[in-house]
Amino acid sequence: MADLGYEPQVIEKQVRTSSGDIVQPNIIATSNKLIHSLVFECKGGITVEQDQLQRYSTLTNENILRWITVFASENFHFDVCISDLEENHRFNAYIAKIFPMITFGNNKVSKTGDFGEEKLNVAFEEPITLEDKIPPLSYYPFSEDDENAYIAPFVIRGLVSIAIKNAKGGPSISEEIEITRDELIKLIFNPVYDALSRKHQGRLKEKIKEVIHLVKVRESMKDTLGIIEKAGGYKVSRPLSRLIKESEKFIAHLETQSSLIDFV
Amino acid sequence: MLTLETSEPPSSFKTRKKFMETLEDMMTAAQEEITRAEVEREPRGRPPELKTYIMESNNGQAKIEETDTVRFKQTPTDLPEVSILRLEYEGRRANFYLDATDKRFLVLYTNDLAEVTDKLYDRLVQSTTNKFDKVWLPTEVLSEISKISGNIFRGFGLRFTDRFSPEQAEEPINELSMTFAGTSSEEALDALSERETLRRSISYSMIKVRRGNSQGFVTNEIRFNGRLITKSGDSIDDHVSHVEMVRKIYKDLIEEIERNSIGTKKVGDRTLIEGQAFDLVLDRQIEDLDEFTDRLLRPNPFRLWGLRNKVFKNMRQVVAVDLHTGDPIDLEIAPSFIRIYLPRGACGNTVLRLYVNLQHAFDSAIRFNGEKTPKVAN
Repeated sequence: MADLGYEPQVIEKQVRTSSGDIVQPNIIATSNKLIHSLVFECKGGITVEQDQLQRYSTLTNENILRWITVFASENFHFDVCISDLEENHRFNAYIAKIFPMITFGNNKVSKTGDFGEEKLNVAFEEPITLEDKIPPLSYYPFSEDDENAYIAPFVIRGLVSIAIKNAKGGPSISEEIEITRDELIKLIFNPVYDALSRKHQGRLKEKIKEVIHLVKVRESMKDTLGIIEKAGGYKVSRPLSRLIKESEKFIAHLETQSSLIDFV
Repeated sequence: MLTLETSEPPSSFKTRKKFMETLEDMMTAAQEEITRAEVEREPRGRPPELKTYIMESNNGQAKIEETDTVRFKQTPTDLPEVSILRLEYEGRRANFYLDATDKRFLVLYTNDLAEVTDKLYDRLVQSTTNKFDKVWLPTEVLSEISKISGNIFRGFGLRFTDRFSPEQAEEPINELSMTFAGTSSEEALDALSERETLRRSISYSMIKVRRGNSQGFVTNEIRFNGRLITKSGDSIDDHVSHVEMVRKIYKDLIEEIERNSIGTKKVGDRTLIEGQAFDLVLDRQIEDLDEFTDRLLRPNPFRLWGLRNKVFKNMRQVVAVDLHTGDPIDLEIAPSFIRIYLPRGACGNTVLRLYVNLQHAFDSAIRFNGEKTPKVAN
């Protein structure tokens, strides 16, 4: 897809359709070579709401052009593409009669149905092998549905990052620094945070705050980082002496907890 | 800032021409010392060659500040972009001319003894307080420099130390260090590269390049960490030409990497994602991902700190921080590649530091985005 010029332009953005309904594609990838967008709805399970498919069928060029950038909007066209997993595909395959589908298996990616853009039909004509390929994960490092233990390294790294950025006097000298909550949350996620919808940002923000709270209330981490919550932000003392050991212990601890309630 | 009791070099030059002549005098004095030692057959240790260090200033954000260990005194000269920098560490001291014509890539000139200036320079750039870094020249970039019109390749040095060998004991299992000089150097390099046991250990620590003509010339050693040392000749013009070449090529490379960092751009009222990850494609496979990651996350030479997520059996996600700048950086490490995500605003030097040090410590046949030379896809 990169060879055809596609790049992700919109993630998890609510788009109002011509019928006044709302759809929220996971990704809209756009190619300025083909003047074409792929509107991806990703399905992890076997339940696809018929109503959702109906809403996607009312999307028009104008609805999408409101959110993406193409060099020549007069030639613009798009395909809605439903993406699913190989183990569920037999339940979902009927959708290919409505929208083309891309199915991810352990070892290959394959297409069912046809795209309006012929170059995509050619590109996916044969299944594409995934042997020895690792998907890139860090463009979108985590979601609000991920476990606390998975998100904790990003939170700790964010705190360490701001401590080093503001360091004066060498790594062993303690010094307090401050950061606003929004700056910290963006630093913990990555710059892609700015491209997410406000609702999506809000959900991530709540999740990140939850993990920051877990870091803050754990005595050993609190001592190591010296993190204190303030109005609208946080104050952090310099790390780094015991940090690695404490971080690893903390993450191991989170891995044994199934929820925030368990932890506290 | 402290007063250091050392004699000050000249500071009363009002023009660039005068500054260049001062540097030329430093170079000539060094050459006279070499000639005298040769005539008298009384070598007095290493001669005080003209040495030039190019350092990166975290995109202009770094400042020279007092640290626990390195003391400094900065004295202005008549040229606003040039100052005299005197550094002291553990009783050793040296003077440098600091040329800040390019605010990002600062140049330090000195002809004090290398044993002292190297240590002081290392202390200056390794300090987290200052946020300076060396420049990191990949082997293939050094090779390109040696082929630039007007340059004559006169030799090379190789240095490879395997820091990732699984059975690593006190001494590294695989270590290669050698220097070749003379017109047959390239043939020697070709012969070495053909040896299967050596082909992943051929990393340039330096190239020796001559530039100039019968009226004046210089032969410089250009090292992979941005240090240039005059080995013979007295043409300051040709020495500075080499400095400018290295700085220009490196700056272009860093800026291209930063243009491809992960970020967003505003188009009207829309926010779009742009940038890409960089893939370091390995020729030598990583056998133990956890052990490899442990060794990578060390202050020296990679200057990274981080935490690890085991995502797949054959992949580790490393949530890291660059200890030079404090910038976050994400890595995905699989047996055959290392994927690097540089966030917008972070220093591109992190990517080249990692790449070049892996060339010297893991696999010299590593490829940047699958290319033999570091090119960034548009």
